[in-house]
Amino acid sequence: MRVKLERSGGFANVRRSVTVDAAALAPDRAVELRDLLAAAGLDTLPEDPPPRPGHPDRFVYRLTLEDEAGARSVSVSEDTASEPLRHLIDWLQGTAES
Amino acid sequence: MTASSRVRYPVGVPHLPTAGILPPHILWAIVANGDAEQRAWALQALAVSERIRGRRELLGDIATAAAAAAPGKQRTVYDAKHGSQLPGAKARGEGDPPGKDVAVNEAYDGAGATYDLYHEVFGRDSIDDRGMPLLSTVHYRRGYDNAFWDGSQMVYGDGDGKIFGRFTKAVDVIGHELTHGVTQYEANLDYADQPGALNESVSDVFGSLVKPRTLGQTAGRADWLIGAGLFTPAIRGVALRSMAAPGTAYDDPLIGSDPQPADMAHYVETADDNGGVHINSGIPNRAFYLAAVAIGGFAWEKAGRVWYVTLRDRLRPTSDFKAAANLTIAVARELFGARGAAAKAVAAAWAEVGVL
Ligand SMILES: [Zn+2]
Repeated sequence: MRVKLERSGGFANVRRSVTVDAAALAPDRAVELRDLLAAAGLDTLPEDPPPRPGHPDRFVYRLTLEDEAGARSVSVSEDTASEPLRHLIDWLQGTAES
Repeated sequence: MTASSRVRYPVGVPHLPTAGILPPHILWAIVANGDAEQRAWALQALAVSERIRGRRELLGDIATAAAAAAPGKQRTVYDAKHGSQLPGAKARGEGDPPGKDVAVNEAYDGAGATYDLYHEVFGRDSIDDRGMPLLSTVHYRRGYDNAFWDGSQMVYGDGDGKIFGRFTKAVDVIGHELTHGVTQYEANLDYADQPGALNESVSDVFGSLVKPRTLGQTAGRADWLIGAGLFTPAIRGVALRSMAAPGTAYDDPLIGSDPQPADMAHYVETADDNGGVHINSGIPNRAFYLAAVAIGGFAWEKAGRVWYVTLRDRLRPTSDFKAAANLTIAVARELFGARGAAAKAVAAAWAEVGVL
């Protein structure tokens, strides 16, 4: 399974993208990723976030999951991301940097 | 409601019953640049002429500018200490001397310079025109590559240190974020597609006026860059956006190239970034730049005033580029004459970027 995180928007709108392949992770890290994904509730998110008047310059994140079942993509604005989803986003960014 | 139904007075050079009175744009220039006595005199003359012509939309300016003796410049800067709780711990209040934290000082000074632009040039008393306190938070989260307006305050990250440094470094970023607050209280433009790109452009436009005003630069001498100095030296780019030449601000192996179009022929359709609000803003940004440079002098005096009155009184949440073009031309005619150089320059600018 692969998880792709794309960031757009923000004041700068400099696009950033990271991809984490669960198969390439150490076993304990792969378990972490599975737990984070389960907690993040991606199923409840729309493919494109509704416009958010009054919340300019926030990041917009797009998460794409690829596995045997195919690819699914959801999108969320930074300011509406739940705490578990925030943890997933931070974890993906941190894993890509390390 | 359309603009035409709101504006009942005849458009064009007003017939002034008072002999010898100066035209409004000269009076406004005196308000902006004169000493205390000249300001008071010009405001009085404006009040009289506006009252005679029944121009309700300019009266707010005069009332506010006349009450300028006790302005509502009330700044507080907070420190989030790398957390995400807002506003954080108070770091500097209005009138406090500078401290050791450069981000705190930049947020304080930038909010002050932006307040002064709105107050001294446009007669506006803060974000809501009622003296709303200016709240800013610095050191938001860790390695945070962003600045934003959260609906009631400004928030700045320190940058990740690889691509970006701290976001308070460029004063136009501060002017941009504060202007999102002004827009929220005025046109309240949507935040998607063309209205969203206009929302972004308006923030860049007023943000771009702050630095040249503090430096005394004319439109022809200003750099028209947004976010100059924000990139680390490792990134190939001069700034985040160029109002004079959208699409040319950066070109770097790590972050790619500046995606902004300079005209409607290159308008970008995308689902990301709320429909490309930070991308297609390049088109109205360049229209403002072209108008300001064609008019000449200080950009805030005429082009800035046209855009300000349009933002305050004419734009609606769903206004698109074409509406903005027609409204700014109408306002330029009303403020500076139907056959004046300002109205011609504004019309030519929108035509050059392909909106009209
Ligand atoms: Zn913005």
